[in-house]
Amino acid sequence: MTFLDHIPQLFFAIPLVIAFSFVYQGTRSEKTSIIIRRSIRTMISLTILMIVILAFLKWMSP
Amino acid sequence: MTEIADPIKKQIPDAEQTETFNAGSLRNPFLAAILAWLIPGLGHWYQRRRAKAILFFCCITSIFVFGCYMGSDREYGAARVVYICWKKGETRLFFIPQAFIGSAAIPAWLQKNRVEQGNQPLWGGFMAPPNTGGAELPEGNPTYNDMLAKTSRYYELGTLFTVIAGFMNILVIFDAISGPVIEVETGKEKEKNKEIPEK
Repeated sequence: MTFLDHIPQLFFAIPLVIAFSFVYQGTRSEKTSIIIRRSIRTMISLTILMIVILAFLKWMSP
Repeated sequence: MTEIADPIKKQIPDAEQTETFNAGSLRNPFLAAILAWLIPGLGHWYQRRRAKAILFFCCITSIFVFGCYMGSDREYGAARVVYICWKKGETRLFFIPQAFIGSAAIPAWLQKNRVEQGNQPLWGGFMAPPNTGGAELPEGNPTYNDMLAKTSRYYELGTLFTVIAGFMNILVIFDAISGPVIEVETGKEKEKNKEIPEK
């Protein structure tokens, strides 16, 4: 399998990342504008983290 | 000597202003916590924090329903990823976080009692535990391995989704009890918040 073959698996993580970001940031602020801005930032961070982990796993696999 | 003005305070006139929340203003936190456990977001709705109630309900319920859908099968029934089993060797620890979803997990408890008495599960096997090899088990009910073989990796994904939904509801319950964990805003954030006026 190439690296690109793993990409579809990331789509399953999208709803989780979106929901978790909103809920997590929703419990850390009362202001809607802050929740939205921080949620977007969390989503981007989690997506980058996932890609890094995936790349690391790919690099580790024989 | 003249005093040198602080350049940061000049740029942000209200530098001391941070987001505050008075937890004492929350309406009956313990009732709100029970409501939040029963239905995600209901506790916040009761506390008149309507926007957050809708946000939590949509996020948590959609993840839980999607997880149940992935753990469903036409032959074996719906939402087979949420079930109770405390038998030795077959203990379903995943149910502990799943139980925090509240009323949505109650059918699992009803089905467990039925199957343990040797009766056929209700509603086509919805949230029913699988057969574990005991003598008085209902015929036709699949084993854990049957379900895993039929639904493949989606069974694991469904379990993961429902577990995370339960964990997220724990955060929501705590938010209903004690309010949000306010983060200290950085100077940059304060500046941005001032640009977007809150309704």
